[in-house]
Amino acid sequence: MKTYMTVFIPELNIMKTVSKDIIKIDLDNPFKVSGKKDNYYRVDPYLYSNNGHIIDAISEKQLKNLNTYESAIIANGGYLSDILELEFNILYHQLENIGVIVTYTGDCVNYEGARIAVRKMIAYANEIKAICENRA
Amino acid sequence: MFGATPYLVEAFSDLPEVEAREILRNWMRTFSERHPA
Repeated sequence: MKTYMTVFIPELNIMKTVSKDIIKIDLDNPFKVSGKKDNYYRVDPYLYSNNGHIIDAISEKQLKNLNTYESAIIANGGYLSDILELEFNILYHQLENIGVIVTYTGDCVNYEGARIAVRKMIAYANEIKAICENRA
Repeated sequence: MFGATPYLVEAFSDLPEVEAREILRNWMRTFSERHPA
């Protein structure tokens, strides 16, 4: 069973179709981005230039639209931000409140999915931080 | 993951952005070795 993080890119709303604003990232293989190749290249500069929290970037209205796509939203381009446990808890409760869903492959969705995905992101962030700490 | 560089620079004051970027790039490159499918 795979855990996906779905990234929503509000700037791409000009494309008028919500589905095109979403890319899925398999958290077990995060550098292979699924979805349309075209979207990946559109998305990439955003990921480099925006590091805020997606919670700030998504409106309730947008979320309602996204629900129709059985998509998950748990975080944004700042995946490797210093996600502390406290932040995780805040994020988790926010997700709970707004009814965000997290998809598993071909499956439906639960909050446990968000929990798993966020924990993976924390683990990845810690890997990189460890490299920085141990560099010569 | 792709946007980690500024966070690394922020977290490690002695880490130049260029090096942070390289560390991130290297982490991505070697990801599958540490996390085999």
